[in-house]
Amino acid sequence: MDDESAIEKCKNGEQDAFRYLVERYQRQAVSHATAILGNREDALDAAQEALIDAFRALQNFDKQRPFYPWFYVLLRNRCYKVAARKRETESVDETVIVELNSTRPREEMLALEEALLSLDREDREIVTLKYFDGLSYEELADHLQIPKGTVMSRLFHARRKLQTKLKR
Amino acid sequence: MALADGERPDLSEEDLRDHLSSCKDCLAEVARMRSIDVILQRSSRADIAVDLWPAVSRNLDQRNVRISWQPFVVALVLLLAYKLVEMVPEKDPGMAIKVAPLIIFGALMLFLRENPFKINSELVLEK
Repeated sequence: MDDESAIEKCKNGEQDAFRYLVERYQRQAVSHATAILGNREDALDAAQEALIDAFRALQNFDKQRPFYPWFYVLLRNRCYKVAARKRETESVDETVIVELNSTRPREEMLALEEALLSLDREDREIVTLKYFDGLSYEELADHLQIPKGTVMSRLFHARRKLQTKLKR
Repeated sequence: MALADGERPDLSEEDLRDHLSSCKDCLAEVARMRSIDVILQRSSRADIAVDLWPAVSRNLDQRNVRISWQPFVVALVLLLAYKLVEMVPEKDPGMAIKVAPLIIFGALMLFLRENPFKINSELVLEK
């Protein structure tokens, strides 16, 4: 099965076809939600709710578009709703945003995690989409529903803030 | 920074290089930003194994039970008809018709697949 046929089946009310989409994108969705919310529990809630929103909104989905960027807008909305009832951010003795890997010093990764968590949600979101997902300015504009010029300035300021936090 | 991001900047690459060769402030800014780039580029997003399908599926099942207005209208019409029959003074419909409201109510609940006596023990407090 591919996205297009799964979406077509979902439009006909076939829930099993939606399972394909959930299983394909859930990890990505939770990672992205974690980057926005800075908290894994909230991220799981937001991703789950966004997936339910997606199933209901699929009737209006334009199948010419790729699924994930469309879904990302729903996920983002959910994240900001969940943020309104936000839990306290977890202390940084492990990472939820940055992967700890054996090739880089643990302290460096923890410092980066802490710096990212101290950013505003929007700054953290744009930085992680840019660097961890490698999105272009065009794709960032599409994901975040903002003009390309705003992407550039937001990214510039976010990097600057991140640099200041990392210097401390 | 657009150039460092692999994007096309508003100025040409030559113009930028010319400017950077003569502007220490901008050069220092670019160096600072590149240091952030290096740290971020050698990091990756944390990945976790999740299985959201059971929870999503459960939720979709619950929401799929859509209650439309038609069964309520049918029940209302039947109950009104019953009341009219009951109001006719010279007729004595007997016990059989006395249970008609219960039958109508029971049929409605059966149609909606709802148990009116069920106690929901899984109520969750708002976070």
